[in-house]
Amino acid sequence: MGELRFVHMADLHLGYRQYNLTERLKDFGKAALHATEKALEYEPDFVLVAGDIFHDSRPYPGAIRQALQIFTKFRDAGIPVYAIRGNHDASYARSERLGGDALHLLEDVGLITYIRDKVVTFEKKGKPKACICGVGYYGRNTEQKLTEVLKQNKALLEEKGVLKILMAHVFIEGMVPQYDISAYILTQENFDYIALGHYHGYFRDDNARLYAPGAIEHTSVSEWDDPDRGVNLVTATPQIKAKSWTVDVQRLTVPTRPKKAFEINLGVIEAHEVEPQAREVVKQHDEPGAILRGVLRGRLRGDTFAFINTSNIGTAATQALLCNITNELETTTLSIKEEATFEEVIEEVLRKQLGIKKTAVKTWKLLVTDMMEILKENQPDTVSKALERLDKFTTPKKKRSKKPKRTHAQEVEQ
Amino acid sequence: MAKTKSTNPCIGNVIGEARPSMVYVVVSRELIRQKPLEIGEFVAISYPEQVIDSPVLGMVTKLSLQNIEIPESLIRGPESFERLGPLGDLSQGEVLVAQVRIVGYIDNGILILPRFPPVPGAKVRRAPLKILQQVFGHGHIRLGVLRANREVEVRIDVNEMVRRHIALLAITGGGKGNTVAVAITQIIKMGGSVLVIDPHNEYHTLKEKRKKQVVIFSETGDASKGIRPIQFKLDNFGTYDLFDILRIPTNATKQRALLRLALHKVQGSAWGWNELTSAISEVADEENKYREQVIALKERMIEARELKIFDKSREIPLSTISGISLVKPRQLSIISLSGLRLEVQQAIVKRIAQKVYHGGIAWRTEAQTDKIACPTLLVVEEAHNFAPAQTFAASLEILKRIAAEGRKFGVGLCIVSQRPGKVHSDVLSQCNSFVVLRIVNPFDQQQIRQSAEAITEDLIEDLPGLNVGEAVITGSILRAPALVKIDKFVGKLGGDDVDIVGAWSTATESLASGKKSAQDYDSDSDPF
Repeated sequence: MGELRFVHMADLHLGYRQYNLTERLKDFGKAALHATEKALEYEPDFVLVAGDIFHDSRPYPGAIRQALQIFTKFRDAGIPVYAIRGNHDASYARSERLGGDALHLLEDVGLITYIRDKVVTFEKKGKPKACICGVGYYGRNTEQKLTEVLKQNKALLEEKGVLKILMAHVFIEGMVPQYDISAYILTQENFDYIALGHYHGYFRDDNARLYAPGAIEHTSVSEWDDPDRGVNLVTATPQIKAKSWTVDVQRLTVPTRPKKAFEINLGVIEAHEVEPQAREVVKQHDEPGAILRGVLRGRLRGDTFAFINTSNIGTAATQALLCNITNELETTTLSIKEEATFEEVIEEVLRKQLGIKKTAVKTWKLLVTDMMEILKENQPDTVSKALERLDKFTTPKKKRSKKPKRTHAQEVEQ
Repeated sequence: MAKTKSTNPCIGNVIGEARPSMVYVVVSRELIRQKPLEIGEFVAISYPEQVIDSPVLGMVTKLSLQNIEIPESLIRGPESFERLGPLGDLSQGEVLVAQVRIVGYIDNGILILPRFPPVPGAKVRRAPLKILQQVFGHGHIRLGVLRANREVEVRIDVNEMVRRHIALLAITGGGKGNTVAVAITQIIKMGGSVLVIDPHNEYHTLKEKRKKQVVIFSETGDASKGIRPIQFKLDNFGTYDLFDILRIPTNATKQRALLRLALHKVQGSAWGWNELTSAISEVADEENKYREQVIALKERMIEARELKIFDKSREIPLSTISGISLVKPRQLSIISLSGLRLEVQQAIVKRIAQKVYHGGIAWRTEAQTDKIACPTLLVVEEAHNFAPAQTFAASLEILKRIAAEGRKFGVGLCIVSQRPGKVHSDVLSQCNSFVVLRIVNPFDQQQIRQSAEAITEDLIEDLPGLNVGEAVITGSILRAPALVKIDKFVGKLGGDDVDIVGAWSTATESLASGKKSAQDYDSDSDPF
């Protein structure tokens, strides 16, 4: 008995014209093609596609042509492809009603085996047998559907010495807050490999045998954290004695278009200064062919309703494919006097807030600064100086101002 | 009513100072040698018909028997009695006095406590069956029969049991397991949902005859026997839970600090032991210290990692439509915790209780996700370990919350313990009903007295005198407190006493025969 080798890919999203750019449409096709070519190098026994081959349930002919191109490569190499329905591919009801979906089409031309909530077996001379249980996208009802499918195919799944694979297009607990199914349910039937789609990040839990290769290209900014994209290459070796299989999972990454998110920190700024300054920052981040995303940060001075032309800022990136700028500048209704010194601020507080007379402000100000020094780093010299100042306050006849000083003095003593 | 009055003959009369709640009754002398009154037996006291036209129930709480014709001052020994012989039949002087606590009378199906005492001299009869059945037989499930009136079924109100919690207290071997089994199997039959925390693997045998209704979860699980693994997502446990699970003492501040930093690092994405381990090393590298602590933490993690319980991505679902889950109508879920360290047990109980409690809130607010499918009863065996009075337990806080607020969210608590004195009073005092079997320890009796308002002194005094399988039941699950003979559970129970001497002798026999054929010794029939 030899080993079995297969490729697990998911979420190709062919036909996705992201940002309304034809280049992105091509990107998704290219990424899938790269992955296919890379996969072929390893001569896998079969290929799994865990849903969302297409981005749209009514794919454009262009997207279909991409799919034909990719899956023909596998067919020419004699490698069977097993696919399930993702949420983007088609809805179950629509597919039933309208006489099939795009995956049916691929199956009709003999490029894939479309697993519609059933178990299929992979058999090849001189190779161990594998059975693949595939459940399409049913969201929260996946669990019910899965239980049904497992029940109907009990005999097939209980066969000994067979590699058992489950393929599903779901979010499991922990991937997103509103998950579809608990991983506990998926692992109950002791599958040797659980091939997941739908989650666009890379996920693996070797203990639970849960794997998601992630989307083949970044479909949203939230996925940019992980710049790598790719597919899983799985080698499964039977352990005759233990009646189980060991699986070795390797991630094959594919090159994708560079993406970069950055912040444009502008500090406190006048509205008219935003554009030239931000453009400078954008220029620094410019990269050929890249997708850039800049976020304006800082505080706008003065006019609250100033219009910031973000698209104009984006054009500073001349080499990038696209540069999106988001405006997250804060505005304030109070005009800020930026040049004010600390002393001026203290003076204003003493006079306006506490109502201290102009003549006394100077002494108060010194007292305050001393106090701050003391609080900062307990210096004996300043302490005595401050005490002297307090003394000056207490000795004159002015009774009104006595009380607050006491408390200050106590503080100093402490 | 007049008919029932006439069926039972008068057995005695109220004497002395009668109070609305307590009277003394002189009982007919003939009864002493025929069918004496028992403690716990119910009697019917006649009130003036214009006041209360139905008989008022009372329970015998104390009995005293004297003989006024035997002057104690003259008795020196057996010869004194011989000398008294010629005086005639001494039994003529016997006086049997019963202390009777008034339970109340039925009016329109409700039990009402009279506000005034019966008249001295009022007739007392044995309680009519019909009335007893009205009082004790109206609940949903049968727990047993009245100890003194075996023909009267005692049925308890399950609504009250789940809504207002229940405590089941007894010494080991007092019949706790039996009582729980009798109750929960009937609740399941009703379509209810029960979750049992089973630290001693006592209830696994319930599955034998109820394959579909009973789901057992254990540490390792066993697919061939249909036993499911206990699994919880590691990232659902907090920093302090992990300190407990990994047994990091409070004085190991550096290890704690390192673990805290590592946890901070892994947060935000799915993580398991592997990710945590590498985060620990990374933090140590970044901080350029904690070298020894890295080793120490990894050592501590070995044991915890061997348990399959703490997983990266798998967690037993709370409620599912078709798959395995904790809370489901007509399902008894048994969480078998045997063989696990107490800290780990507590962490698991905490997680389960949290899930159920939050699920209850979600159920009540009709949220879309993570809600319980139906109200559920959480049975906590060995409750003194999970809600202890003095020591710390991770599970204490959440059990307190369920005890205090659970009823609003359809989560009932059944506290089972042989050491009520060691159960946290915030938990015990929230239980509205008590089923108390034999309790001998005075400290435990004290705790019961403080927690259970409905239990009166005289019942407490009775506790050590109960036989196995006999219980005092008080609180809202029954209309009136009663001494009950609990039914014997039909079927095998894991907590049944082991016949030690018998097991020794069979073991010796098989040892002897084992010399002839070694295979016999390994066979399943051997208890060891």
